[in-house]
Amino acid sequence: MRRNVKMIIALPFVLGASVALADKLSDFKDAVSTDYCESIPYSDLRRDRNNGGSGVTDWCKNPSQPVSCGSDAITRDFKDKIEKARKNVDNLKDKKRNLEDQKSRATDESEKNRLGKEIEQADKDIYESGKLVDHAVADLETRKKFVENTMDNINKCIDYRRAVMNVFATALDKVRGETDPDIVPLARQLRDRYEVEKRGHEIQITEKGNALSTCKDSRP
Amino acid sequence: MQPEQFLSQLRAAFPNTPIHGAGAFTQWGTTYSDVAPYTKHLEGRTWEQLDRAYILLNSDALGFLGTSHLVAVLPVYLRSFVEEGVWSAAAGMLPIILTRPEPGTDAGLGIARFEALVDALTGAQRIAVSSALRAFADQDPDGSPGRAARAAFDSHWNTYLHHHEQRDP
Repeated sequence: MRRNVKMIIALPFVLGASVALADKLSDFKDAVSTDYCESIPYSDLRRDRNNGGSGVTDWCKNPSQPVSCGSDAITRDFKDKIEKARKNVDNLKDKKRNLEDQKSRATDESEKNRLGKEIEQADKDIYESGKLVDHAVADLETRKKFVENTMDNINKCIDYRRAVMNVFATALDKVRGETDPDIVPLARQLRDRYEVEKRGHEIQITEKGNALSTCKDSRP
Repeated sequence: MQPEQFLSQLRAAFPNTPIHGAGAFTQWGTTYSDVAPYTKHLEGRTWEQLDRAYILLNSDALGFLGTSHLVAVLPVYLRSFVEEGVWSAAAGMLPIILTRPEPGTDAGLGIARFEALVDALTGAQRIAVSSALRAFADQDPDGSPGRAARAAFDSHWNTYLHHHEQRDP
């Protein structure tokens, strides 16, 4: 009688454990035969992977969220343009001062008129060149905002890419720790796959790391 | 090099035959996030018929594609590299993939995959890769992307262009 009671108590646990093992085995078989997220035989990690995956789509592959600053040379070109435009204004101001100096020393009325006209033209040139400086400064400011915005995007992209890679790293640790004889051969296949494919995930992160570095060098 | 000139070079080097998507990621990339849609995009199209915007947006696939599929889609990325320069979506990825890992390091594709890629390319294709890297580097001589392309060129590909130009100046 006592033995029967023990069996009645133990049976659900035994059945539960064997059902869980069958489910786990099924998850491993599915993982070996499928791609990407489904290649992770642990539901909690698959969930994490899905969350990370949608973040990657939103922040790394969204045409409306730039993830490249082009080249750091672009910012240097903008700064050079400002410098050249400012130098041009300075040169024009020097020219105007010379003309004014000549005019103040001129005795001939027609010479004074001619210099007056040249001063007028120099004023116009200074005004136009000043506008070029303003445009160049505005372009640099736009570039600065673009770079800052892009750096935010890249940082988010890297975070999501790292999260995805970490999911596979955790899955790798877990498959290495599998001991059930039915699961071990499948776990070994997954382990080999994760190890080999880790490089692809690292390349993605390296690429975004380089892009971030270019953006940092692109800050005015 | 003018983009039109480079396009002619690509057309002469890379066959205009349909790509079959099946198995594109089996060798190195079953854990890539877009295996199914990328594979579907490849199916039955020549490299010039591929949806360029989609393929470029997914340039992260380059680290996961098997060698033969990498060769098949490479001209799409090389073309963008030369035509769009530093704004190409492949500008960051191609120098990583195409830089031969230095002895003692195993960066990028790793030496085994890098050598498999080089072996899988024909002579004309290797020259096309060299031309693309040099053209890109020349477009951005003072920027980090241009320097990365120059480093990739110097790491391996300069030899092909050098020989080609000596033979056919």
